[in-house]
Amino acid sequence: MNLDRRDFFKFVGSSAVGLAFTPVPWTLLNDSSKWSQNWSWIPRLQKGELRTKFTTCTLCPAGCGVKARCVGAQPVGLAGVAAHPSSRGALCPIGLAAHHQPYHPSRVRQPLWHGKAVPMEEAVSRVRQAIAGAEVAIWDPNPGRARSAVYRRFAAVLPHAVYLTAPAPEGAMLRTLGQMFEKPVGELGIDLESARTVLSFGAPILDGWGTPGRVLKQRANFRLIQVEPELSRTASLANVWLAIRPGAEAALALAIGHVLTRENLVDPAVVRNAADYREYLEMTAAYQPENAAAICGIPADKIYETAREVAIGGPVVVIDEGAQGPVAGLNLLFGGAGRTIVKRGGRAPQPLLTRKKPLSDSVFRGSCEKWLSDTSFCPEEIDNGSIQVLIAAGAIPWDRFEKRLAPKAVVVSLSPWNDVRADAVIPAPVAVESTMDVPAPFDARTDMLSVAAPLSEPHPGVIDPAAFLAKIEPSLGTVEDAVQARIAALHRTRRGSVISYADGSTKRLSEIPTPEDLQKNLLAGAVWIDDPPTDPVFPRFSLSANGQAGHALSPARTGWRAVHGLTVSPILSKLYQESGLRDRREA
Amino acid sequence: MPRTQGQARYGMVIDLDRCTGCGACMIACAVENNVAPGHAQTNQRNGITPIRVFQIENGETGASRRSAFLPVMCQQCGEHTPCVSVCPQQAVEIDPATGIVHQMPQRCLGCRYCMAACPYHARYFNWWDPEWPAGMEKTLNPAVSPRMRGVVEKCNFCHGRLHAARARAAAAGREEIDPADYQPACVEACPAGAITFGDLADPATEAARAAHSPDAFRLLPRLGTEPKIYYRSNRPWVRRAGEESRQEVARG
Repeated sequence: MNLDRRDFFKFVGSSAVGLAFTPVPWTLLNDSSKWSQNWSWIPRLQKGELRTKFTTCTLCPAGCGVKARCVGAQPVGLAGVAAHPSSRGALCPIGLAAHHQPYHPSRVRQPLWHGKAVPMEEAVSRVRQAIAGAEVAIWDPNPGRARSAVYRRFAAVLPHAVYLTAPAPEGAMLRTLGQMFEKPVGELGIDLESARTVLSFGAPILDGWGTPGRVLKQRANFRLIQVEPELSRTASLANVWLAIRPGAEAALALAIGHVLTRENLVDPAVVRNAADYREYLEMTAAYQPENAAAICGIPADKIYETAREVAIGGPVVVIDEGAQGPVAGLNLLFGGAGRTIVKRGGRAPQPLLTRKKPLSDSVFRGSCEKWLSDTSFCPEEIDNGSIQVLIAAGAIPWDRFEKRLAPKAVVVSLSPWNDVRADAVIPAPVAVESTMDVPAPFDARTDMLSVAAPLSEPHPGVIDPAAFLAKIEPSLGTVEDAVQARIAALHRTRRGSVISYADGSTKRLSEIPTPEDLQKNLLAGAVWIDDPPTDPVFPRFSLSANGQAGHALSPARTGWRAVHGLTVSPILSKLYQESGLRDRREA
Repeated sequence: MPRTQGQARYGMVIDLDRCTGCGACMIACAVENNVAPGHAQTNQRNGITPIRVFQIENGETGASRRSAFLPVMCQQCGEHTPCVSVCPQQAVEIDPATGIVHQMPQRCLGCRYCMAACPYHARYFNWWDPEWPAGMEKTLNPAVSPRMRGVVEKCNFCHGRLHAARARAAAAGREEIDPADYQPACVEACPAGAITFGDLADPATEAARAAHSPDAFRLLPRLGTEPKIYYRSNRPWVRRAGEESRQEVARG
């Protein structure tokens, strides 16, 4: 048989067509797609003993209890702890994926100097060289923790250094309120559990404010009136939304005060306790709802209705996103002192300085005496262009530091995440890799303290910020020592109770024999909660006192609003992006 | 009254007046079910969100404008289940013991008929291999296999948790699972406590009671698919928007 060229092509062509009508190519296609579905990059699941660990979330100041499901030592899922007195079993979206953070692709795993990887010893020596004789600022975005004492100590041992921090913005209203009493009342807290009406001036009550779990679990028990210029998430879920003109909150507060005082809706006990009730009447005289309506953009009858509704709506708490005196003062006018605004009792012992020293006046406008007290400086209190070396133990709010930095300032970021504007980035452990004490959030009813035990081993290339500073100044001690000292000081108080996360059991602190036992308890998953104050009665107050003119913003926000200052799990970015639930700016 | 598994009809009631749209349910679901962080090209159309929270609005303007959040997952249709009807591979089944509509990725052909048939748009296709950043695969839940490229997936009420609850019940010598022992991840994670889960066939459960409350409703009831996901709201416009599922009020 002769097979010419034409026959050959005919055979091949007809075979190809014929083959298409057989299962062979389709089966091969199907099989190959299945093989490739299970290629080596598809991860295999870890096998191992399932365990449960308890700890406390340190991503934001709320300090929620965390139950971690682990395979061996590796956490594979996080959930809230129902027994936690503050978070009540809730964990925010960021906290739910906190165990992903150690593996985040943008994590820094080696010291960087001007973007180039350098060995740790070289980074230490360069920072040591930079701070020699320079005016140094240590920025601590999360004050009040034991490691803050280490940072303070570091600032104290350097010849020209200052410790900078900023109070949490969300506690500004309580700080203003504290200044309205004739005598010091200590730290104040919010008894949301007693409130039946919440009047919020712009605070995102239902969107990550305070301790989110506590607020949301309590939501069914209070009526929410939201005063806000735009339809925020909280405004859309509030019982009443008052769309106010921006900046008119104080006028509305005074108009509500006007209605209350003129219609005798104020408790006589409040009138007796107010040292300046007459002055307050004069102050509110000009704010008749009819006048205030023009300022606020809210109809006068709505202002009357709101004031009356709130006055008879049971215990009221007024929450201000800012710190305006007239708004904060409404709490006192509604009789909230001792009901919804409470004294926190004692305080968990704070980490203290071990050395005090005067500082160079060239760095500050203020006097050195302030340094010797428990308070701290804000970046805004520093002279422009005076910081020669900035060492930041966390995210750097560049807008606050830009003017304060000297022209050739060296900026050292001690953070797990790369900051391209910093000269040096020293890789720090992420939240689930550190031992950290967690004080009470600003809205807590009583003082609290827990200690977060690490869930994961830190990556070999990273170093704790305090340990890095200890490499420069060995006398600082370790964070573990500072935490231990704080726990020992707490144990000496013999006050309060310790609540276990595992079973919710409560033990009096006085029943725990040694500080070591207390530390063991706290590290295993427990929170110390203070007793109610022995003297819950408030002194006389002044209703017409002005609040702070402004408050410095801190990056330490609570709940999922902390997303702005954090590098979150990629799964959050993905889901927020794909669902369109939050825009990319937020995620 | 205790019930046997053969009679169970698991479902959820989601209180839309409590939902604040924080997204904790979506995160908890993704972590529990090993949903991979998105491929660079993922978007709202091709990403995988077994539970997705939509923001809906009442269409008003000014001070009358209001919005609410509507978490939508597989509605676990009880009748005329569209995805079951169209699947040529029998990759979708209704478990007679629980009433849960199960998707079996091993059987899935990837034809996506079920996605086209689902009136709730609650099914998602794996367009890419599931890939995690280096090291993050250690955080995968050992009870749930990652799905391969080319298959459809959806909410299955965290079947890993159901199996674990059954194993615990069996270890304790019980035939039935303890209702408190089985909760999907979204229910456990919701910080507002907006989701109630339970056996709708048992009138004693909180879920069954909530499903029969006057302000309860289901999505697209006119289709007759008898979903086992109920929603609640005392705001009439939210109920109306949910029942009509008007496209113009849904954003996302």
